[in-house]
Amino acid sequence: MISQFNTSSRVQELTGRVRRCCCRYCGSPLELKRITFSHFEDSRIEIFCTHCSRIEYGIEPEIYQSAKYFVEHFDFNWYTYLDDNAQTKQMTIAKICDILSWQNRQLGFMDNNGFKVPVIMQQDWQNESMTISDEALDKLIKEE
Amino acid sequence: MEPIIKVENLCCQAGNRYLLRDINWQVAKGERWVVFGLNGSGKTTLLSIIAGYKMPTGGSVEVFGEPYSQDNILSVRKRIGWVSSSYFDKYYTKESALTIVLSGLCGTLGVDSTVKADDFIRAKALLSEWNLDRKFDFPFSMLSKGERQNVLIARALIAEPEILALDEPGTGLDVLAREQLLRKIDQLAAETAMTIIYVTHYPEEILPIFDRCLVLRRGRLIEKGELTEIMTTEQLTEILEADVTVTYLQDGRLDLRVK
Repeated sequence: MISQFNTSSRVQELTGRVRRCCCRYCGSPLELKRITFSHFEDSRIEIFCTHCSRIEYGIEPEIYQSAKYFVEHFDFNWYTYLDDNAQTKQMTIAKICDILSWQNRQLGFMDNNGFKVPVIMQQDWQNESMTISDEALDKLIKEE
Repeated sequence: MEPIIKVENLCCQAGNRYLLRDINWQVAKGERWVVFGLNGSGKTTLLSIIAGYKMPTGGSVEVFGEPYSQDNILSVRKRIGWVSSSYFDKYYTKESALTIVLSGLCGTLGVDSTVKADDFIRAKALLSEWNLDRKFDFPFSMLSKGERQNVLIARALIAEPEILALDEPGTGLDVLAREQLLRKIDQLAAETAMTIIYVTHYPEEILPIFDRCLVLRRGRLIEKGELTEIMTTEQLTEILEADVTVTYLQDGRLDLRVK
């Protein structure tokens, strides 16, 4: 992970995305990495997902969560002509991320700096399992 | 005419070893050059320095009249379409074909916010043109050698470059894929005024559109000038240090036989 950069607009933009975004494929945090050798910072730095080992521009985590939920909940596969495996699922999530990102930009909810409006996520969508508080669980048990 | 590529006393060292030594070369706008040499002669190194993806350790390089700097590196790179599987294969594995093509608009390996919605349409059109219409989202490593080469060519062309530098584009392709590639390069040359530099170690890949040749051997410039004066039996026997025969075929292509 690189901690100090010059102030070029590209590096600033990438730094902002690393702070804000996650990988479109796996949802992991992103890093800035010097990928190639060059004297010039602008030309050697890229956003990188170390979990996937790929150069990755990233996506807002809220969009990733929505896309992942959609793919898993509706068992959606964009690439029906490919083997149905983990890689295809990641590719499908990334595709849905692109679609959602495009739509949010079209509607004016997002720009290059992320969401322009407050985003309230459905908390039970955040992970594969629902999070239920002790109180809610007690209530459910009593109801049964 | 002012050269668009000017290389003076160019050196590139890796440790104590010279990859390139004292190269002097000028390319004018619209010229079509072949860079010829055997493996390890420094062809890829020379092209990667010109394209701004490698830094020289000595001498100077000016492209479009200026040396590379922090301020111009990305803008100059965008004006050069560089195709080199030996370079990009080291960095691209899981990146999608579409992302790789779009990165050509940024002059970097990844994309940034300069990529607009229209660019996606152009990138897809280019990929379709190069027979990749169902593989936009495929990871680079899932594509065949020929498909990867086509992705890199689409990447090089998307920014409508003034210079197209092709580093051994035929290497690793089967004979049909290679001929198809050469036909497309021929077509591109006929339709545009682009400066084209074609790096190869196979004389039979040299198309009649190329009229100039630069020959490298073990990092040194051996010959440069008119292609027909360099690609002869006598010259190549000396350059390759082997007994060879060069024949010009009816279609203007070359045939080289090693005796």
